[in-house]
Amino acid sequence: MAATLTEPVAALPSAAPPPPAPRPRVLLVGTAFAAAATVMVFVGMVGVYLSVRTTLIADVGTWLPSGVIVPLVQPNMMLFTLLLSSLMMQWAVSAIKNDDRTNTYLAIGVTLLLAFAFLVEYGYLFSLMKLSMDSQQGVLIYALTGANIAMTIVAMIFLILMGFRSLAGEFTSRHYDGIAAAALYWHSMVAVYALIWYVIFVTK
Amino acid sequence: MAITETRPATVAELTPPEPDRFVGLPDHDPGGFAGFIGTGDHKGLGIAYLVLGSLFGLGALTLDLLFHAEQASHFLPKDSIDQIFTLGRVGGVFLFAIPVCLGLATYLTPLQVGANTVAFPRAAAAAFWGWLVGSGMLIAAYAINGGPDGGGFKAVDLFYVAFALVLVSLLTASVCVVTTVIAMRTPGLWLTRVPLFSWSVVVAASLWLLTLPAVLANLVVLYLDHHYGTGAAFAADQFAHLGWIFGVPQLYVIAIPVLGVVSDVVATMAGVRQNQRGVMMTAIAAFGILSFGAYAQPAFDPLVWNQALYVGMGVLILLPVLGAVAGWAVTLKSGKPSVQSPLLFAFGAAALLLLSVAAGAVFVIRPFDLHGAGWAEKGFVLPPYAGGLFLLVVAAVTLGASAGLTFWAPKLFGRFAKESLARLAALVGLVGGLVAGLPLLVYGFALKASGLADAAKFLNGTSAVGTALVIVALVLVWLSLLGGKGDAPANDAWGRGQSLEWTTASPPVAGNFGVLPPVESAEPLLDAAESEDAS
Repeated sequence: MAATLTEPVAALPSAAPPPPAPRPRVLLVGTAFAAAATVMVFVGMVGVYLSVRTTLIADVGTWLPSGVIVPLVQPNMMLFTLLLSSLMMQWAVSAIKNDDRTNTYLAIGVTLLLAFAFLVEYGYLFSLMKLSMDSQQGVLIYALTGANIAMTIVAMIFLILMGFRSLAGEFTSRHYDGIAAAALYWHSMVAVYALIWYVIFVTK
Repeated sequence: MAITETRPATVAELTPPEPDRFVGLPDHDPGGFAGFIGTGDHKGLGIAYLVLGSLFGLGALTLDLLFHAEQASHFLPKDSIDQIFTLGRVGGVFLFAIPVCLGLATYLTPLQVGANTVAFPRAAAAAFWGWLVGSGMLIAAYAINGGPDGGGFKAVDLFYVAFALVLVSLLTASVCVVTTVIAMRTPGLWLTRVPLFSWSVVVAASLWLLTLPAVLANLVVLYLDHHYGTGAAFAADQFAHLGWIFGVPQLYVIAIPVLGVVSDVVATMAGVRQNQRGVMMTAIAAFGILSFGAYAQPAFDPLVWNQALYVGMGVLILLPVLGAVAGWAVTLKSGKPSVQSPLLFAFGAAALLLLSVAAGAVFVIRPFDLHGAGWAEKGFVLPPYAGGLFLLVVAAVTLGASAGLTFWAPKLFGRFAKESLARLAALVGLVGGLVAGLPLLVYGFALKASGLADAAKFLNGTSAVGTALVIVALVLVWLSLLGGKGDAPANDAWGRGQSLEWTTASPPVAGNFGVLPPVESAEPLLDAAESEDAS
C-alpha cells in the first residue's frame, strides 16, 4: 500500500525511526553560510578601516603614524604562500575525487604546512612593522590581521579534522563533502587575506 | 605486484556512518535533566530557547520600562541610567528577540521540511549553551559596573567577550536552521514549496549571518582599543559604535520571522491555501534585503542619514510589508477564518510591524530631522523617536512569537494554550505595544517644538505604562500555555493544518517522522484531504 501523509505517522510512536536517507551537501551548505558570515566580519572591519582612514587623511594628510613602516615584500610572499596553499587544497579535493588517498593526505599535509609558514611570516611582519596599539591605525591593523590569523587557525583546525576523517576512511569519490567544505572555507580565508593585503599593505 | 582492478572498500562503505542525525534520541538519552544537558535534539533546544529567551525578555522590557519611568520622574543616578538603557537594548535584541525567533526556528524548521533533526545537532546544542553562558556573563558584566562605557575596566572587557560569545552562538544557531531548510528538505518539497515560516527563517538567518558579523567586527575593534590600546581611539564613546544595531533599518532584521509566523497562522486559520505564494515569498525576501543595515553606522559616517540609499531603503521597506498584509487579507477573505488566539496575536503583530515600518519611513525622511534631538544620555545615537520604533518592533516580535507559541502549542507542549488567557494576552500586548511606542514617536516630534517639550514627563510615563502592558502580555502568554488543556491533541491539532509538522504526533515522536511520501505542493496536507474527498 502506498504510504499517505497521515497513515504512517499514526503507527509511529513505538516504531524506531527508519535509517536516514542520504542527505547530500549538508556540510557544504552549512560551511558556505559559515564562510559568508566570517567574510562579513572582515567586510565590516574593512569598512571601519576605510572610513577611519579616509577621515584621518582628510584631517592630517597621512594615514600611518610617523616611524611606522609597513613593508610590502613580506605581505607579497604571504599572499603567494596562501595562493599556493589554495592550489594544494584543490589538489586534495581532486585527489579524493579520484579515490587517490595517498595524494589526499600528502596534499592536506602540504596545505597545512604552507598555512603554518603563513603564520610564521605574519609574526616576522609584525616584528618589522613596530606598530603599537596606541593609535587608531594600530588598533585597526591589529584587529584585521589578528582576526585573519584567527580565521586561518580555524580553517586549519577544520582541515585537520577532515584530514582525520579521511584517514578513518570516511571520504571517497562518491562522498567527499568534508574535504570540499574544508576547501571552501580555506579559499574564503585566502580571499580574506587578499582583501587585507590590498587594503592594508598595498594601499597603506 | 598484484594489481587489483577494483578499489578496496573503505571503512565507510563497509559500516554505515554513525547517524549523528539521531543524536539525543531516547536510546542514547539518559533522560531528565542530564538528558537535557547533553541533548542535540532540536525540540529540547527549541523549547529551552523559548523559555529562557522569554525570561530574558521580561528582564529587558523591565529595563526599558525603568528607563522611561526615569525619564518621567528622575529617580536614578546617571551611571545607572546609561546601563539600564544599553542593557535594555542589547538584552531586547540579543537575549530576547533573536533567541526566541531561533527557538521557534530550531523547533519547527525540521518538522516543516520533513527532516528528522536540525542540521549539525551538536553545533546547535553548542550554540544554545554558548548563548546561555554568554548571556549570563553579559548580565554579570553589567552587574559589576560593566557594559559599554561602564566604570569597571575588567567588567567592560568581560562585556565585550560575553557579547562576542552571544553573537558567535547566535550565528552558529542561524547556520544550523538555515542549512536545515536549504539542504534537508524531504523529497518533493522544493525551496519554493516550504512553509512561509521556514522561508522567513531562511531570509532572517541569512540576514543575521550577513549583518551580525559587522557587530562582531565593531566589538573586536572596541575590545582591542579598550584592553590593549589607550581607549581613546574608539572606546571613548563605546555605545555610539553599537547604536546602529538598534535603529532602522538594522532593527527590522529581528522582525523577519514574524512575517513567516503570521503567514502560516493566517493561511492555516483561514483554512485555505495562501494566495499568491510567490508574491508572499518575494515580499518576505524583499523585507529582509531592505533591512540590511550594516552599512548605516553613524559613528563612522555621520552623514549616512543624508544618503539616498539609506532614505530609499527606509521608505521602500514599507512596500513588502504592505504586500504581505494585502496577501494575508486576501487569504482571510477567501477562507473561513477561525478566529482564535493565534490569529489575534498575528493580527496584533502585523499591525505593530506595519505601524513601525511606516513610522520608520517617516524617520528617514530628512526634512523631518528626527535624528538630531536626543536624550542627553545617549546623544544622537538613539533619539526618542528611534526609541519608539524600537519598542514597536520589539512588541511586534513579542506578539509574533506569541502567535507562534500558541499556534504550535500542540506540537511544542502537547496541549492547546488556554484560550481566554491567550486572547486577553493578545489584546493587552497590542494595546501595550501601541501605548509604549506611539508616545515616543509623538515625543520625537514634540522635541522640535519648544512649547511641547514639557510633555516629556507625560509621554515617557505613558510609554512606561505601555511597556508594562507588554510585559504583562508576555507573562499571560506563558500562563495560558501552562494552564493549557487537551492532553493528547490530534496530529493535525487545529484540524486544518497544511504543512508537514501537522502529520506527526503532538508533541512529535523521537525522529519526528516515519517514511514521508513525496510532497507535491506547498500544502501537502490539503492535497491529501482533497484526494480523499475526490475518491
